[in-house]
Amino acid sequence: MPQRPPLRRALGTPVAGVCLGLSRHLGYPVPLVRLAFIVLTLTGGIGLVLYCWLWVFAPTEKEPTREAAVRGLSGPALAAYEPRPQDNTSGSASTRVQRGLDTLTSSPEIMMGSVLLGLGALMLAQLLGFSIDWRIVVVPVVIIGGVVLAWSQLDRSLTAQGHGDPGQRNAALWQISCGAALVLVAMLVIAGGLVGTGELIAGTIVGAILLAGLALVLAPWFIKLYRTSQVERERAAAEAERADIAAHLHDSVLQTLAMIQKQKSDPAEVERLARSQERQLRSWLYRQNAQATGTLKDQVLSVAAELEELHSVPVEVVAVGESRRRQHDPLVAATREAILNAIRHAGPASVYIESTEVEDAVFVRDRGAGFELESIAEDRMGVRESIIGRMNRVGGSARIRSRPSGTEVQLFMPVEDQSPGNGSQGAPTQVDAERQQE
Amino acid sequence: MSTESTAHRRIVIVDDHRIFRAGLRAELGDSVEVVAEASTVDEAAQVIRQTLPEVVLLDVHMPGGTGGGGAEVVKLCRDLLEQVKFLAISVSDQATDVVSVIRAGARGYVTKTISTDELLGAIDAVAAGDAVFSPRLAGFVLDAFGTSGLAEDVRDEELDRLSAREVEVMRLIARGYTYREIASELFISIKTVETHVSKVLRKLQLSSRHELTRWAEQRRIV
Repeated sequence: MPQRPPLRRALGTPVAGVCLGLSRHLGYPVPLVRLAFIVLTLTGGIGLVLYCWLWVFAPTEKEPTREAAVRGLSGPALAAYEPRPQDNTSGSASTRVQRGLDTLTSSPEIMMGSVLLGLGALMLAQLLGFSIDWRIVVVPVVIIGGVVLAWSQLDRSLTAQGHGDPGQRNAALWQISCGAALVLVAMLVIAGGLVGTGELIAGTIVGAILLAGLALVLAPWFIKLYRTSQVERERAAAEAERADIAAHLHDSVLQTLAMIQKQKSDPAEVERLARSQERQLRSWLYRQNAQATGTLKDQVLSVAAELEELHSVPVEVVAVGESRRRQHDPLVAATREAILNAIRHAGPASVYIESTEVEDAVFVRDRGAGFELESIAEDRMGVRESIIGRMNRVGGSARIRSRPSGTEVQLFMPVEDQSPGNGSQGAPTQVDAERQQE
Repeated sequence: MSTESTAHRRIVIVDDHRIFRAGLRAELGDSVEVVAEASTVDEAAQVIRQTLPEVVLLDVHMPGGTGGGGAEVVKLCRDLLEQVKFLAISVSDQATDVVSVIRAGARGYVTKTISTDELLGAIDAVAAGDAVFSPRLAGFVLDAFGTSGLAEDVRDEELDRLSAREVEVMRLIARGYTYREIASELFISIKTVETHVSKVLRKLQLSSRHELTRWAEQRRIV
């Protein structure tokens, strides 16, 4: 018998993920579980109680647990949340029905709608002459509404605790007090059905006094409980982070160090390893949240990293400003070609990107012997086609300066979008290979 | 580089990693005289006061003091800045680190991957009172002050902006040009280039521009 997944509340569901989590745990289809809960709720409320019970006691999938430490160094600390693939699209009739049921029971709109439909049916029944005691219908609905309103706060405070901004906090407070007020009113209505008004008021006062006394006695205990849980949670989070870092160091840095020890007779290889590890670690430390933003800088950085890796030649990138353009493909491609040329023919390259309001400029500089542009044969497609031609076609320009002390490829791309394709009338390209004596 | 002309600079190496200090010492060899080493903020301040070296090679991150790292060392030795020059040398690329140590009073910033010749050149330049800008530091400066520059050099006194010429110089440094190449590119003397760079350093240190700090905080990476 295969091992069951642990009972965890699923994420990304309309209410609290209890049904989906339960269905994963038990291995029954979700719609069935949901239907069971709904039926149980309608026939006496047991379903609701059970749902709330599980809501409180089953952790969600992304809560860090102490298992993070147990899972070992090389595993990620937080089990990555991946939405389980739903039944594949090639649906036989049964799977299609199942999926239909799933969407039917999972959408909050449909839940809302069925509640309203039920209400409508009741009204219709009253119009048709059946006498209905509204108290029996409305009061439970109000209670349920209040409970859901107050409880939906439970998860949010778990996930966004610590750095919740005051606005969010206020909203949470409002939500809880509204829910509490709704439930209280419903309770009073119920009580009002049982006893007279005067007794109700007296009873309420007595109840309030009792509650206050109880709160006075229990408050220290609750506060202590809260503090302990807070500390526990922080410890779990710190533990998860530590495990994450350890895992990363183990996977990358330690491995590389081992490789370096093995390759110690080959300085070039050692340097390559050290450099690629440095770049990797740096990007992991400083750029964790900035991955794949698709800015010009990021794209050029990744191109430089790739070429550096490939050719074991260092490429430095310095970037200034943020590009105003959205699409950088031709510029990045031309930059790539220029870096490649530099590494192949001259060694280490430095790249400087400057983005202003009017244009993006990229300078690729090397310290090779330089060359004369005229001496580049037509068959050397590299410079002519991939750099100059490419920039011209998209309305930019390219410039190559070659001197005995090194070559610099300058690429310019204006910000305002010129329609691509009119390459013949594109901006004039200045190609001046100056040879200056220094 | 003109390393032979002014050999045996007296330097102090401040870094909390023993391996790195040893490596640096071996790398510099006989070209300089390493008079002392230090590994914490307090130790560094004390050693620098005792030995009064020409140049201090200073790491940005280190324990001790109030946690201010290299910037704190410079601040503790503020009264010595005329005699002792600080050159920050770090693996960190973070703008906050760079800007904080420069604003504290360091005369330059280089990364630990710099070649020996370049490092010796940088030590000489700093000892002679010049500023040492790596391409990356020049990029920081351009990013922080903006690339437009003032129209003319007359309002040179303004600390919050760079003059057009200073922007040009910074831009060329960022593009990987040496001072010599910049001089021939802009048809000025090397001395003038050095003056421009020193002026930029002064602006970087003295500018009350509050955006500078905020900018550095926002941009934690390069």
